[in-house]
Amino acid sequence: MSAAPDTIRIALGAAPATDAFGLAVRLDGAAVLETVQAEGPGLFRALETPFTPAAPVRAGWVIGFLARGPVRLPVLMPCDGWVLAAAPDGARVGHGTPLFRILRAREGIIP
Amino acid sequence: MIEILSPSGHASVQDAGRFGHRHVGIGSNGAMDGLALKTANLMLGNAAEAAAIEVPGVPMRVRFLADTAFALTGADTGATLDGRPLPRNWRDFARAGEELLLGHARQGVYAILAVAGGIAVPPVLGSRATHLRGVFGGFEGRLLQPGDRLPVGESTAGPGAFGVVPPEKALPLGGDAAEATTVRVLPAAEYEAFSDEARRALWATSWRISGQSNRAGYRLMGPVLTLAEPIEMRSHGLVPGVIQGPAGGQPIIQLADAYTAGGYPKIGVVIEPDLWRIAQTPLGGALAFRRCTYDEALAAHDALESHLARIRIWLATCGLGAAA
Repeated sequence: MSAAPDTIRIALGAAPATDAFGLAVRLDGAAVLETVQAEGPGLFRALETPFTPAAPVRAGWVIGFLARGPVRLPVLMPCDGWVLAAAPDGARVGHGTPLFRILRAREGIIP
Repeated sequence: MIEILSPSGHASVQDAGRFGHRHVGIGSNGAMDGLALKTANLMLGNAAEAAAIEVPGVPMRVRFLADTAFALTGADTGATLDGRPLPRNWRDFARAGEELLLGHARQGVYAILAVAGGIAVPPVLGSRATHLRGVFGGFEGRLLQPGDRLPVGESTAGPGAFGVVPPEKALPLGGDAAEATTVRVLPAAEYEAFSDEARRALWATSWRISGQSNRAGYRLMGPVLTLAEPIEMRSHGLVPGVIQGPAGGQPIIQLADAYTAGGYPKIGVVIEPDLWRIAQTPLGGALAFRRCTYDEALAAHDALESHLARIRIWLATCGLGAAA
């Protein structure tokens, strides 16, 4: 069944066991989920008021922190989109540890 | 240069305070939350006593007229920079023309907006703090108004963006009731002159902060604190933190804009390292007093200084010194 040209079909499903967040999204049949990884070691800290999956987030916004002692380094949204899942607050992470599962906005999706 | 676009009702320029003039009736003034000021200055590589804008609780919009590194500490105002949300206790970088919006405080009361280089108003008697009663210091000795353009000092601070852990997480004071902020208190000179009942009530009461409270002092609502027998006192020196028991019986805590002398008997004094906790408790909120010893007060002072030192060391470790 084909979608109308101006319709976006989003399918949420279980991800392969290897997916850190157990979450898969296919948009018009193509996987569009991306993972934001830790750029170095530290403790992952969530925002005090984390973004909900319904809130559009712009590229460059702070979506969480990598804590080193009392210092909080920003984890930035790499593109416009939505934050769907996050690592647990306080998790010890290293370089490349998945921190966020995000849905990349296609051009024009975020007004 | 920073331009005030829409002011918070009582925003003012404050620094770490004006000291050495109490004997001639000039109090310290300075930021209500001195820890927030020091933290913001640390994040920017400023001198600890550099002046900043203190924003009490209500929205304010400012425009940066030049590229400026800035830090926001103290109350959580849900601030945005040209629409981009900024986390709490955060340092960031504004491009010329960008607008910073501080919203209603979601947590705490007094926000500090500091800029790299400090707010460069002329110092008066060694300080840039606004003395509102004396109409000197700060920006023209008054509260900020729309259209005010505040000079910013020289700085080589770069565009780094980072934050530090909120103070209530770094310096927890166990026993904080959900609805009362706990602060440590030393018995003051006339403590023994109050009735047994009053002394018990001091420690046992959750004191509500009255709406008749401001930078000069907080009036508390709770049981009447009576003296064991009437005493006559001469006026004596006051410092921020002193808890007076006036004739009406409802205690007053003297704060940053406190008068320098008064005649009410003093039942206690909130230790200086806990004054920031009072500053961040809203009117209508409650305070609980925990008795402490002089040694415990000194230890609290050391703990606060260690917290700041730890931030300084970790900033250096992360390569986020003054030039971040």
